[in-house]
Amino acid sequence: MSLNHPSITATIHIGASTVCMLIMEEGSDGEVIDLDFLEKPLPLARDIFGEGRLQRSTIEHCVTIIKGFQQTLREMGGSKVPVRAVTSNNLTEASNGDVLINRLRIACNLPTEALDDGEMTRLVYLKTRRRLHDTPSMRKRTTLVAHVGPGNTRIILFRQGHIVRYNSYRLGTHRTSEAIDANLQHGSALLRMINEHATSNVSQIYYDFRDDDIEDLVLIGHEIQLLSPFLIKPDKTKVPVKVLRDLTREVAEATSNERVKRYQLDYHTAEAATPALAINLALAEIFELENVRLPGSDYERGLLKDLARSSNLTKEFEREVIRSSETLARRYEVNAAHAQQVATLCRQLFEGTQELHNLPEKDAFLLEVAAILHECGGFVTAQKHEQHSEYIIMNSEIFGLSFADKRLVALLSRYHRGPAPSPRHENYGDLSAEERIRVSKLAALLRVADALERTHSQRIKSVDVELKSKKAILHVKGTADASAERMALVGKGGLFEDIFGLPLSVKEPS
Amino acid sequence: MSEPFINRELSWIEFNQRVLNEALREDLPLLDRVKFLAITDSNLDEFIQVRVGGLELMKQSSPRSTDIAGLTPNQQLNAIHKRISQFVADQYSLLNETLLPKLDEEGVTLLKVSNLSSHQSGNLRNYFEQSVLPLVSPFLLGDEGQPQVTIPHLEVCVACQVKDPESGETRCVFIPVPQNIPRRLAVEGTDNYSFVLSEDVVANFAPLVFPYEEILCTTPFRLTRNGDIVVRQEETNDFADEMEEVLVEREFSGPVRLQLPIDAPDVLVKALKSVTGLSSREIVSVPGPIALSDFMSLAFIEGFDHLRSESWKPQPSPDFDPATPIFDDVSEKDCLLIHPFQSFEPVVRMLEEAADDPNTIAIKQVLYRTAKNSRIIDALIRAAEKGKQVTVLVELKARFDEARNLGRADELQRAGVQVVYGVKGLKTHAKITLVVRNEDGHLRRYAHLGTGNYNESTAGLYTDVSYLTCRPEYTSDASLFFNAVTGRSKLVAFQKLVAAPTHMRPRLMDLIEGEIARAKEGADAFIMAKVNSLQDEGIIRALYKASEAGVKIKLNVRGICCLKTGDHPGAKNIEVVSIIDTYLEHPRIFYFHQDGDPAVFISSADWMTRNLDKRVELMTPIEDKDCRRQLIDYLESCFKDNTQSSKLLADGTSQRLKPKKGQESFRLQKHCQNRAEELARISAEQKAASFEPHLPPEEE
Repeated sequence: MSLNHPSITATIHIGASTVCMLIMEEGSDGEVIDLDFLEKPLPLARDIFGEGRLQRSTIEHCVTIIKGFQQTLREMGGSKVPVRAVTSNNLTEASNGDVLINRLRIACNLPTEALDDGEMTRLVYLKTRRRLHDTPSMRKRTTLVAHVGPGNTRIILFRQGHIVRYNSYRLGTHRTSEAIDANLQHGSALLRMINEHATSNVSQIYYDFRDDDIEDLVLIGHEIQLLSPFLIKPDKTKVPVKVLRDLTREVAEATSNERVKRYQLDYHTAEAATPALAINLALAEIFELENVRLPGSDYERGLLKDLARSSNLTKEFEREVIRSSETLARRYEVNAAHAQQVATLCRQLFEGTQELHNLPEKDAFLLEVAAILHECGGFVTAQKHEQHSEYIIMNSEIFGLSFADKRLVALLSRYHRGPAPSPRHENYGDLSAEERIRVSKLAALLRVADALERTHSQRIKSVDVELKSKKAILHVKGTADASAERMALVGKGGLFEDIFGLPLSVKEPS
Repeated sequence: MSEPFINRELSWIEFNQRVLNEALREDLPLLDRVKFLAITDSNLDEFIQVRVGGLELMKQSSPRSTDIAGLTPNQQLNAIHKRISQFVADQYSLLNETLLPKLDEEGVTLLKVSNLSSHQSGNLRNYFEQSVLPLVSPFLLGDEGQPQVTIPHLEVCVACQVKDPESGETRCVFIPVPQNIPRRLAVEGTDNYSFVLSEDVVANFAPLVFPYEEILCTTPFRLTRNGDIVVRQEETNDFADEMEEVLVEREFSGPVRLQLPIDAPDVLVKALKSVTGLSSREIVSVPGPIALSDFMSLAFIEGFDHLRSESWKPQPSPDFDPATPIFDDVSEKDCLLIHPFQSFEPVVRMLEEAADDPNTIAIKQVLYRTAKNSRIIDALIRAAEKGKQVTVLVELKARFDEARNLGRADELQRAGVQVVYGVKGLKTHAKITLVVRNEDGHLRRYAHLGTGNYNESTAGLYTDVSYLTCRPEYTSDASLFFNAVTGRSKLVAFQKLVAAPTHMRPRLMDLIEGEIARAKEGADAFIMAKVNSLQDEGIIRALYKASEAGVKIKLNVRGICCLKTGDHPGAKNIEVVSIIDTYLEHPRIFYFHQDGDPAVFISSADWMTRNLDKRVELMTPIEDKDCRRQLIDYLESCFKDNTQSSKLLADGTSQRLKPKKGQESFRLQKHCQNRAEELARISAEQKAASFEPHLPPEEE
């Protein structure tokens, strides 16, 4: 008798202080059901922020935990369950982070990727979006979402339910705990040391968002959500800051053993509990709020659920990234109409040349982001502004973009004009051969789109690409005489012709 | 003012007194009375070795510490010895003055070897020479200061004073009565069933063991040991508990009691006293045979059914059709079983069917105490051999069952079962099984949650509750539980189940507080609980507080009850009863009224500190409407008994309940049996009245 195998998937997160796995099954109606959730403490953050490297015992402990998880997966009916395993993005701060990833590959045959900052932000966004969805009043208010993570704090400003601004700060629960040897302190001395350590970042956060009339502060994070039963009643989200302050003092006063027992924490999380509470409290206090909001759900479980669906960008998420790019563009006084028109033309060119470039849909989106930002370097000076664009983008926070995504956008902006990509160029030279080709293909399209918007007057309304065996014809609409664009293409179409091997010609509507 | 608590040990002795009271009942069949007497002695053996032993050590290490009733270890020991002395006198008075004469009248006679005819004696001598003598090994009973011989624990031995006729020197020796000969040896050539005791035979034929010497005198005796323990003193209040846990793990340990006949020769008493180092208080002289626990087998001798109560047959539950796979029945509706009135068979079948079922992927189970030839373990082994993922937590620390559990654990492991030997530092006491099945490409999990062990033998002797369900929120919790006890995950928050030692105590406190709040608002507030033991100070104080606030509290406690009833303010709304009957009352059920929408739980945990803080336990809410109604009906019935039930009095003693004038008698266990029989009969009649054809499978 042959059996249909259940459609089970699993996600594993090797986090700062715990390793978790969520096993899910897709029901007959397509709904995803949580089957099992496993969580084991692992002192990853202690190693990273304390020693700068992972200890061998920590790596082997992680292997043992993952093997146990895999046994549970076998008990769910199969050894071929698709598993997505990610490690904390803080792993990149350990000098030997790749040893853990290699060891898991060898000992457990488990491919593991380090969760990058962009995806982490995406996960925070997904979590926040749910919170906004659950709390209609928040959708109308100006809400600051603070995710105090183990190594970094992410702050997202929402207005009318949309992201307005995003920033990341080097302030984290475990980073703080290790920096001040939190396990050796307690009570008011501990709180004072945490505040001294956190004050410059907290002040910077206040400085960055002080003019935004913050009405709500949503706190998310592993430790604060674990402590939520001691802060909020079931099915509630609002916490008076006074209650948060009282719990912060209470936790700071408790010994490590008391924290474990009283608040049902593991020892690693217990070490970070006081910094987590104190940093969150400092944020609430500096914005002079009387209440904060806190999800009652489990942080890790939510994260694992989102991990399963966050690798593919949603349209809604893309819109938030575009909004974030537009905000950056505005800050550097980019001509928005020109940027938008280049983005539109890029999209049309990308679709029209699909059979030439064979790039995934995500690249069309990144090309669009590059189009919006390509001229931001002009804020510094018009001369060689493409290089300023690259620098500005590389050193700015663009919500939702991973480091690799941001680098691609920066390189595309750099190559929208001027010399063609060269391995001698710093960021480009760091790329693999495949990545360089990808940059060149997309840069070629951006140059063509920019040439078609040569007049900065949006007179070319749209473009259709006709691909012939020996040439590509751009059918433009919006002008009867595209001489200026044709001229511009002489200089900017070269990369396209070099990469795709087809000369370009422009044809106006007859 | 005295503390409003009853000392745990004295409360336990009162429980044993209630068992003895059954033996004292003239309205019970004679062999039932013998059985109850044997149970009291077996209980006492366990109590002496683990509790008295623990207190002796505590007397040394923390002499000033007090229990919740305010007694120091020495005060407790004095009170225990005084009470036990009375208890033992009552046991032997019953045996000598009532049970043995009445047995004799019925043709069951205990004889002395010295009173047998020469023919009978000759037969026994032959038996001794052929079957006993080859197994006998005498040991010297050394004088004080000599290395102490290893006198076996809880085994009947015969001490002899032996004289060398040549030198005229005497010495004391002892002969352990071989374990593989029965304690009762039938005497042939009488009209009735007559028997002698094995130690009497050994004593009489001792000259055959020492053929060149003279036996001057003999006496049987039995030694009880406790532990030679490294003391853990962090929590002195729970020290006796600690001791209990440690003691059972030790095979050889220091002596705490010596049992002898009252007429034992002084020279042998002196020698034994010297070797064991026991004080007079710890030497128990009895006017009759020692080790009455061995009389249990007498209660089951063949051919005397008229001297026993009629046995009850476990009934099939109408929820299960023997012709339908168990998983089909459980997938249709949740099932609650009250054992042994309703058979334990569906639980065993669940494992057996899972083992043979191609759709079953995994089986997980916690085993605490298992039966000798356990069908459950056989099923687990079969499942593993068939390639299923089988995970079993075998609790090796289960009292007195370590050896058996270990042996079977090896067997399981060889078959490919993933065996976990308990959780470090905690005893895993939860009763839970999880079966994972692939049903048409979707995973479905089935759980059994119970109050009793997976032991087919005790399932026929103890009352317990089983709950079978495939509700995802329960089975998901069950899965999380197994992930935790197998060390693959920490214990994460559950949706429905409540686990000790993490969440059960706070949850119980919340539930009690909830009733207090309702009482204060003027609503009806009511708590019912059925447990084996109520000892935890926190829970008792919460119950006192609830009672003071006006919450009505009914408790059905089989054994230890440290809660003090009576006139003190905390007890004004509390009623405690205890039932001793044919089956050992074993379920743990908790009911919180919650303004008419009651929360009802079954649990593996008693309301004892060790269960709530030092064991892995589960408390399962019963939310299915029918199961909940059934469970509440049962729990309410536990307080209606007026034939086997006793009311606990303020001094910790109890008073048997009798039907009031005009009130009908109500016996809980008989009621449950009748109910189970009635349900089974109705179900059988319904099946006979409506024919259900087997249809060919529908074409897809």
